Amino acid sequence: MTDLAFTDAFRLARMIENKELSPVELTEHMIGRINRLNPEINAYLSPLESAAREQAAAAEKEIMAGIYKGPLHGIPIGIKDNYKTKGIRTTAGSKLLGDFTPDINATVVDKLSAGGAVMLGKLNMQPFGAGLAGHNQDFGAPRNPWNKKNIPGGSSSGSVAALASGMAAVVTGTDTFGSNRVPAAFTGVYGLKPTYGLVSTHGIFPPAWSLDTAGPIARSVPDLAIMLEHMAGFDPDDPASLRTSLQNYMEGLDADIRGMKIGIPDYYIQGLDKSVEKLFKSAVAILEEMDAEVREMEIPELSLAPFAGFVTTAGEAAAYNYEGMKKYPEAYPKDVRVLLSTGLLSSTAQYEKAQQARRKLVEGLQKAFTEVDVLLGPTAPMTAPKISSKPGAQSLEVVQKCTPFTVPANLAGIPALSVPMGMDKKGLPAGMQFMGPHLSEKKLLQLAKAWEETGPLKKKYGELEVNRL
Amino acid sequence: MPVKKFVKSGLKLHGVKVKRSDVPYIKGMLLAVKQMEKPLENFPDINEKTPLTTIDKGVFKHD
Repeated sequence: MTDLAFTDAFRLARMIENKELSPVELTEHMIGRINRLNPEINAYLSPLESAAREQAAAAEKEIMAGIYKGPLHGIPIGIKDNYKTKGIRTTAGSKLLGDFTPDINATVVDKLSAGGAVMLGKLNMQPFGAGLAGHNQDFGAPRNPWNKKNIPGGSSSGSVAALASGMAAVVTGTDTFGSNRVPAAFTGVYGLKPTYGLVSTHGIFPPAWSLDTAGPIARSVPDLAIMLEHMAGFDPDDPASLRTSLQNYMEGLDADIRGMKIGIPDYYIQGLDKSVEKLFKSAVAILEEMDAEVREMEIPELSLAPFAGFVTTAGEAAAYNYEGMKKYPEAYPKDVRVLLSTGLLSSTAQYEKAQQARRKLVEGLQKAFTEVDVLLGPTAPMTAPKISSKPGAQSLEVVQKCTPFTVPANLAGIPALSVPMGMDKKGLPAGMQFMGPHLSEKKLLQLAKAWEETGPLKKKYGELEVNRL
Repeated sequence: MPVKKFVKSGLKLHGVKVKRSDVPYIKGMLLAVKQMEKPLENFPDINEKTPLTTIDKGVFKHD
């Protein structure tokens, strides 16, 4: 049964549809793993055993009665704890919210439930999504299953820890300045930041409204496609929601990528750790062997991204947390408090200047996409560092190092997909990201699928020591 | 005004209690932002750009 925990969701779905696998049996297996592993990995803040059992039983009954809802029916998933869940404690990773129990579901939660997914629980995260290291001083940080002494990355820290330790088949995350992609890179999984507005953020705690996106994280590209298909779509409750036609992201995933034009901005090959630089060069060589047309290019406007990204994030997050900072500053972890304080002290003029820079960046990227189909760069300049005894300082350092790589996609609203690109000498995964024009998710998934077939991770999740329990 | 003093008085003005051990970190972040601002100088036309608005569908090309 152990392998079931690491079997891709799309394969589990086929087994369930063919009545070869019982959703109840699968859910019990995952609950067993959560009970054994979660005390150590700390991926879940609120496991939902009885609710999951009820949902799995309902799914099984429906499927046996011939009502099959699709590839998420009976699949055990985890939900990041900044998604509101009706009647279920929602913390956004902070004790500041106490035992807040929403009276609504986030739109995405409703959509996943309608697809028949089984909710295993609410996942740990960096408080309010305000960081990329994954630390959590209130509930304790999740551990990186590749090495428990290392950070998992954040803010979707519990999401990736659950995936890499086989405690969920697929999970949700959010990405404001890299929160799906950096942890995906640090734990060797696949993380998608969709086009801004493609997936509703209604009912999700916002770190920064103009950058926030909700998206899936998974252990395979087809699983990302399945999740995106269920999560995407217009939502009248989200003012930023796009009115766009729904796509079948699973269809054509095996498309030929020969001749695809891939640009590597010189911005993305600066300041890399040696190990990441080496892995990136090897990955580019493999893409060339696959007959993709890869070339380096200059996009000078990318140099504006760190300023625009930092000022926008800190400013909007400070606005959202203004009352909280006045009333309960001590309740925020140090790194979040520092970030919010910096936002409070930045000027309106700086914020508007950042939005001017942002428009300039959008223009630079749009021009680049007239020359290439996809942009490529490392997701982060390093692999997961060891957990520091000063989590606040480490969190700020990881933000400063990684944000320049991830935030351009958020600032421009374009999709970006992080894939594992290999492992360093210490056995830690590194990631790279494909970025495309607005609503090019399908193309990114096709490219990522072709890349996935090269077997970039040399070790299987199930072989990790922590997963042998 | 020295940055440390700016941090303390600025937060006080907002009604936020200042934690002394945070001040060096906030100062560091503010100075880092000033550094990040430098590339703006390479784009003399930036002031001609209308700031992107919070929900600005005009720049999101689709369909």
